[in-house]
Amino acid sequence: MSRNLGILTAPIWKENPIFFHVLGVCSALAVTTRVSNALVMGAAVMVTAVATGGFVSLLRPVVHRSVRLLVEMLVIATFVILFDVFLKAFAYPMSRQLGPYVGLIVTNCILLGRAEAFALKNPVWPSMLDGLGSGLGYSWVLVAVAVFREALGAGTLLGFRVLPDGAQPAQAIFLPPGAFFLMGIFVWVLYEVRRRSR
Amino acid sequence: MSEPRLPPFVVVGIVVVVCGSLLLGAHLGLAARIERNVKLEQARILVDLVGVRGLSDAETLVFVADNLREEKDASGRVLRWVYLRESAVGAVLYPMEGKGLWGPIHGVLSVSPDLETILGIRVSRHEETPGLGAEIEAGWFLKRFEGVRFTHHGEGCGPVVLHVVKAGKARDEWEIDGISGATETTRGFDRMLTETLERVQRDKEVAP
Repeated sequence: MSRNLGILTAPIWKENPIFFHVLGVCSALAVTTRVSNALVMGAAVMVTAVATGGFVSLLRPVVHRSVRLLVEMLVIATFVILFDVFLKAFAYPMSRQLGPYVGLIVTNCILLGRAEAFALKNPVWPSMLDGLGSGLGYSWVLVAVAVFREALGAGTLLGFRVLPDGAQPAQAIFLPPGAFFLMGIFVWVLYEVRRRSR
Repeated sequence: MSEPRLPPFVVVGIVVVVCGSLLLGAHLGLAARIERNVKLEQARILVDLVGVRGLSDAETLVFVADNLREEKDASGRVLRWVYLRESAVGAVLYPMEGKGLWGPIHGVLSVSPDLETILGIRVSRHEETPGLGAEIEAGWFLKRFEGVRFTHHGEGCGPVVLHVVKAGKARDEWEIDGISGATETTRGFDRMLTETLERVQRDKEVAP
């Protein structure tokens, strides 16, 4: 059990995909202008990562090495499109908000990376935990970045105004380069924290 | 990793069939729901534009069917909706279509029955940058167009003179500030609006 717990928590902090592997940064820059977008995007990656982790691991005994990438991509694309379709059917306004970015999870390196590095070598249950952990690790970073960007860039949090009236929101942080700076600072601080905690 | 016995193409074939069935199933099962969502979204925009609030989903669809006359061209494309209020024209609504920075922009424009003043604009669909170009759908931006005349008054109506310009560059009542940080989106929005307003101009008048 403690091993499974380790599998779940490692990508949340110690092996965080965004900070320490710098994966999935493209979407992290794109959807972090609103906390609500970041939450749904995080959920999308979490769900698809769990599903693909489980599925790829399930297929592990029958998939030949030479076609493993093909199979992984098929599985990932299927689950991402499924999530997108469900979002359109049951949360249409949110699906509109996120625009193309849910579909672009297909190209998210976290999913393919975890399928290659973990699900292909481990049983189903740990693979799903690993997917959940990676999804959570991705989500909390997304939300954390989005909190800063929405609060400072738009003056709101989840749509509620947080900056005092008359305060000028910082346009720069709303632009993708602003997110780059923010992520850079985040990575730096977290590396320092991790180094000192050793 | 031990090499499995099944030939690779068989495995891939099975995976393709399974994945394909999943997608097909989801599509068939949810298509009606998605279509209703799309229709409802359109209806909500129309109802919102004519200033009716607080309708449920079902009421919205009924209201649109009862109070908005849809006018189509020969190929079935919607040209405009005429909003009838107490057997007089309350507003005329035009679908808008244009190109933004990343993809198409769709919206609806509402003009007064005399076809000279913008009553309101809603953007229904776009793929602009979240937080920047995506603000074209936000209330604070679209409010700038409410009650704005788009043609000089005089002998008949002149050509369309209203334009959306770079943020902060509007000089008079015929220019409206765009969104800063979204120059291309602003430009696309201006082109789309101008094109639609020219269409409005060609309509001359609306019978109830």
